[in-house]
Amino acid sequence: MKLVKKHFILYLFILPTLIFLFIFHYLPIYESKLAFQKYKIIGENEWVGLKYFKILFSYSGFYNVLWNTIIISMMKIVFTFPIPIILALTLNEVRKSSHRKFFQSILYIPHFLSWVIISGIFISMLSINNGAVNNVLQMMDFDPINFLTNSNYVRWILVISEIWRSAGWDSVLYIAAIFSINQELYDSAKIDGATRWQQTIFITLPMIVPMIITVFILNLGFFLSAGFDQVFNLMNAATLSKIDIIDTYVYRIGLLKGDFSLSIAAGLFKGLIGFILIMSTHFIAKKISGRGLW
Amino acid sequence: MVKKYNISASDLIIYSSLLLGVFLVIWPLLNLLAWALTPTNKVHLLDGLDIFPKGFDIDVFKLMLSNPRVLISFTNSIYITSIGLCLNIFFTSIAAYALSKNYLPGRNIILTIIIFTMVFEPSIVTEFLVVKKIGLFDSYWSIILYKMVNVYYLILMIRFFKELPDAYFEAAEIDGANHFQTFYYIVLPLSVPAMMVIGLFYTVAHWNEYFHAMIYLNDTSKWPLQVLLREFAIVGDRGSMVSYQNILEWGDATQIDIRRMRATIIFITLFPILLLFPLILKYFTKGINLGGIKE
Repeated sequence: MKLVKKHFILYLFILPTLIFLFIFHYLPIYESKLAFQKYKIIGENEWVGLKYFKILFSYSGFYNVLWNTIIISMMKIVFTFPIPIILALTLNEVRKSSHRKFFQSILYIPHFLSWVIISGIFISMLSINNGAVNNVLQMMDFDPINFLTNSNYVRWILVISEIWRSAGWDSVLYIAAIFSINQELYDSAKIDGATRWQQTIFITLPMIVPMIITVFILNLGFFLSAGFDQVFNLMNAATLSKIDIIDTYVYRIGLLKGDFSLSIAAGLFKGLIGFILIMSTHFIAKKISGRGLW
Repeated sequence: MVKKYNISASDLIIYSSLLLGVFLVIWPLLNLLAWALTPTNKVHLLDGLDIFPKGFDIDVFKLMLSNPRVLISFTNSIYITSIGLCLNIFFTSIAAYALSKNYLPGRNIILTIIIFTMVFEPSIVTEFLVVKKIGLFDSYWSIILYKMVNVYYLILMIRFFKELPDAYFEAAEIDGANHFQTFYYIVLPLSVPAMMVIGLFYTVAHWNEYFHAMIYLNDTSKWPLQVLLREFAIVGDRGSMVSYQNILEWGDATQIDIRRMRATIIFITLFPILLLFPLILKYFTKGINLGGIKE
């Protein structure tokens, strides 16, 4: 108690943050009770139990949304996840540090652009009318494709734009891991006559495996997120059915159609699964590599 | 000691693949700039792959920057970013300072309350309802305050403060300094690089804000630049790109290629980020030692 009194001022330092979290995180969580209520503009909301969850799970459209979320996350893990690792290994082979810094600086740029800007750039590049990609296709005598409204390509556009945006930046953690490898390992490998390729495969790669596992597991925790801002800005009526994910669904039925209870029920479902995923991945990561989410 | 390396086949592969990556990042940006700068009468010569403008004309930049909506939004963005940034830095660092003290009773409970918000995310709809209830709807404060403290950066700062040598704090205590004085005279000067790092990330986050601004700000004159950009470049509304006031001055505005207008507004929006980028690179190389940043 004496300590509390002595450091009273420190609690004042934390207070604004706690008030902020209370208003913008805990009040919305409390407000989630609406998923179990019928929203009424006038008068008290009526408790209806699990009604909206039943509606949600009896609605086939929701399974489509769930499937889209899962397939987009899977595609990103399979195709996007390895790129920063390969990039970090490649950057590590650039011997002149000024050259390496140049490559890194440029590759980091897209991470700092908003998805509004990136979508604007991709829409212009993929345009059927004089867009860069279609110009290349035409040079090779292919028919132009309207990528933006073609539902067969739209998920791949998500994967590619994700790589474009984050491959450079996501390599940062791996580069840091590579830099902390003990130089003596390479020296003794060189004495044994290992080539650069062998050093990469047998020293660098195994040494960053713990980091790879950590990042992989932590990514799994956000499996149901699948990138709201990206989908939201690249989506249009023609491609909606292929890339509508839980977050965009929640936004659409909640804020556009005003069906609060149903949309909060969907959001709560995602939040609960996300909570379980993040907690379990955090503890797994901590157990394997000693490094969790916090 | 300068050592000359022989260029081997593997060097060639490494350099060419990295150059390809650099090219893929830079080229769409240069292509946009080429579209923005090519005069309207030569725009038909421009290919989707071109990175050099055919000729040079900044008429669309002038047109866009004389559009009152663009100017208002630009001012809004600057306003939101600067006020937001000050609050972010101030509240994040004082809370991190307090939470870096292991001896603080109740520290673990407070940390649990804070970390819980990272793992359980309420949906945007409930946040919207709360913002409406507390009367922040249609106010700049809604988008400034909803990200007042980023929990990731808070944890980063806690780690940073913990690594400061104890000797400083012991000396301060012997001299009878209270926490305000210790924070102001000792912690602040020592943590300029760390604050620059989180400050730059906060700045980028504010500048790139569009979604919450879109749903919380009903009044279009309060929109930040990103929301306007979305209206122009993604929703693709030609009418809103050229304001009524502009039509009088720019009789031929309707002749301007819509793609040039889009390219220009994208460039106006990303330009401030490009200006910040050297700073980000400079401080981030120091900041990386602070611990892993996810995001």
